[in-house]
Amino acid sequence: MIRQIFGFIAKFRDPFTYGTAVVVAAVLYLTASSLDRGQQNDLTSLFLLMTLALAWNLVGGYGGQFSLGHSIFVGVGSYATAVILTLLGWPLIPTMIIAAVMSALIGLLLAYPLLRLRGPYLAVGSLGMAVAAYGWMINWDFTKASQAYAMPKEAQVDFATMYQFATVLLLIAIVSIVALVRSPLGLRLVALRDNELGAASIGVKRVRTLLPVWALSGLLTGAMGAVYAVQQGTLTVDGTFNIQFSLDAAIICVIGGLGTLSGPFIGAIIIYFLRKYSAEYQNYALLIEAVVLVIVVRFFPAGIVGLISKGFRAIVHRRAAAQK
Amino acid sequence: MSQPSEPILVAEGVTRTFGGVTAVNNVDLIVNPGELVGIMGPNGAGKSTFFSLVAGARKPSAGKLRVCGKDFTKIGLGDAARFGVGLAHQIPKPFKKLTVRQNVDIASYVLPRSQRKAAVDYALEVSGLTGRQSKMAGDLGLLELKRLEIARVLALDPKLVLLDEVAAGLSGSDLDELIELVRTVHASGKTVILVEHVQEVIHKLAERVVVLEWGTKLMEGTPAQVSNDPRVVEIYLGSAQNESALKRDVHPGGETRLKVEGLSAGYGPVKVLDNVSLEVKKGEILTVLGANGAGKTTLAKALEGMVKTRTGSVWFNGEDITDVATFARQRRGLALVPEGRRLFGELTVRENLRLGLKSERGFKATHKDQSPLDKVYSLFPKLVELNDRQAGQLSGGEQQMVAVGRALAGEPDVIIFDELSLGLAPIVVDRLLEAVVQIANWGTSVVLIEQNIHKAMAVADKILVLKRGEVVFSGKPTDFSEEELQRAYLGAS
Repeated sequence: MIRQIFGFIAKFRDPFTYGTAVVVAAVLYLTASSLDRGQQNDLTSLFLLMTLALAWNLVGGYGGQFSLGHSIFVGVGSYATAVILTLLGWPLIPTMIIAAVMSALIGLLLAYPLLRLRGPYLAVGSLGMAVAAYGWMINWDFTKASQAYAMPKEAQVDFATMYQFATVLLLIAIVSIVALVRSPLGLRLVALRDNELGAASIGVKRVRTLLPVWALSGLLTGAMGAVYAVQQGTLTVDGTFNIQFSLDAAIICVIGGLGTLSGPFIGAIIIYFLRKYSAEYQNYALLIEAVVLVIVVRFFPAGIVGLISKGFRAIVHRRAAAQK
Repeated sequence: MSQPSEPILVAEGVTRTFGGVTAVNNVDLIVNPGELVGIMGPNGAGKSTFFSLVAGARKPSAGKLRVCGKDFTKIGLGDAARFGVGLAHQIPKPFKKLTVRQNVDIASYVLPRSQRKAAVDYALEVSGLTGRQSKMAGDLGLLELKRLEIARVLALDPKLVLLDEVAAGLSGSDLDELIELVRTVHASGKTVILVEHVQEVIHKLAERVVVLEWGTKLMEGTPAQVSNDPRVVEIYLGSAQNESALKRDVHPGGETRLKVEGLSAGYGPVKVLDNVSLEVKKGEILTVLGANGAGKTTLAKALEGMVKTRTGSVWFNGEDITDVATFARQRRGLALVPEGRRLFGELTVRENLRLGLKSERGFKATHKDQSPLDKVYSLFPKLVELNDRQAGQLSGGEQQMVAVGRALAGEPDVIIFDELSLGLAPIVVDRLLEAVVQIANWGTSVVLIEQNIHKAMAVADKILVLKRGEVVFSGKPTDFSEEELQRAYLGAS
């Protein structure tokens, strides 16, 4: 019986995943007006955090490459949106798409040298790039250097529209990531992570496999930066090219479950609400977050998702044993 | 495309150096389509390096190398598989978080889309994994991992199949199954080159054998020619076993060092050991035998506290250590030489040995006279000259000496050897077994877990035979008949 249910789920896993995502997103999209502005803003922030974590998880979780350079994509996406709107006066949505594409190109550009590094060297290499990008931006007069860059009037949308942007972006992220992970490219990606030499000896080429993955991760993170720019209204280098984005993404994925589909969602929800409700304890807020992180890493190294699937397997096993 | 008459492999003066060390020196070899060629040689002869060149994982430093009509002197990682070369690694390299089928799927991506499914189905069927295809690769046992390694190679639909020590660690019916598998692969029209220590495999399969020594080609010929050549016999098999070296000058007895009563252990839902009892006295050698999956390695881990004991107890020097942590058992004098050696590859030989010492005082004492390390160097004089080399750079046999030395440095009362001879040439195995006897003669008790049944029985004072986690025989080796041995390994009753 249980086996049949599992077989059924396995058979319709992909349509089920896509279907659920589309339906949930549609409901969220259509009910936007029934939420108040505070809720719309909160959910926008949460969805952006989820998108960031999902995009990072592609490289850091499935690919096993611990990137600390993802703040560059957030920065490029947000500043490109602001600059194109100001200088060229394009409509908002095409601008955001172009900004995301620019971020994807930056992803290819960064990945090409970075992919020669592995493990901690890649983490430090990408961190170096993030620091260099920050240093460049803080001195670049074209983007008003260290001064705030105000988004033009065209970017001022109401909270409901902003929330709908975030919903659509999250849906795009889920669908594209599921498609990639389940494709031959996704299998090769995991193979490279699990055993690089074994992968090479059955014809998997490292750079060729990883470049498109970095490009997609850059695209989604850049789009997240574009919506983030719309939400913020005013950009600063500190608020966009900040290493904190990479760290947040990594922490969310570790807490939720690295290299899993639902890990970034669970992690993002935990971190978002933890921050929201611990904010009133001021100095202790960071401490609380740190303690949660340490506890998860120590006791549930596979994240909350790992804990759930372990418990699930234990139940199934006990049932199977009882049937015997 | 290459003409059918063109050789599949042409090596002319192929040389590969690492720093100052020449691993492969000026090797010539031609392999024609459809051949089954064996490569033998003692550990450190350069077999694995030569294989890595043919598989495109490394580039030759000098010489010409053409494989499947392609120039392999300038080739990138991952290209060889696309040109039709499939390498099955000595140590399986599974993608643990993917299913068996997904593992094989990845290999099939080098083929046109329409052929992939058929190639994967065929590979799974030939390698006997069809029934396991939805299992996680990380959950497989050794034999299944070896099969997976071969299945992945087959799914590439390669012209040339390279098998690196695929028989290592297998025995009895498992070995026969594997030989049959290789035969099937060859019969399907593929060219096969295999590197093997297990003589039986070379004899049963190879049409032509190449012998390497110190990176150069010593000779080539039929298996019969090679095994009758005195040069080969000397370098590969060693001169006739020195009987006196295996003689025990101390008759064991006296106090009990290690005692196990009714031990059960396992992983998750699986029970691997069931009600195992044993006793080892001072200076005694207990050999543990059993087919793959009988629970030998789990026994070693349970003795050392790396696997939790479910029921039963472990006593060491009259003290109950059932709940004592691994490091504490080690300090009390229960040492393990683990399967696969587990050396610190980046550290030098001296540093590896030093880490085995009970205290730093022991190390400083080497400059004076008495030190546990002196014993190690007297046992393996070769380690003196290797002292400053990185352990990871040594050959398999040398690494095993370092692993034994590291365990001895802690001056243990009992030392457990898990798969001492795995993947090593017979001459090296003899040398190591001599060392085991010497260690027992010093009064240290030995638990020897071995695949090499006859040699391990020859040095044993007592044997313990496991079958599916249960003790099926315990006593003197002379009381254990060949018939019973067959039964334990082949499962016939």
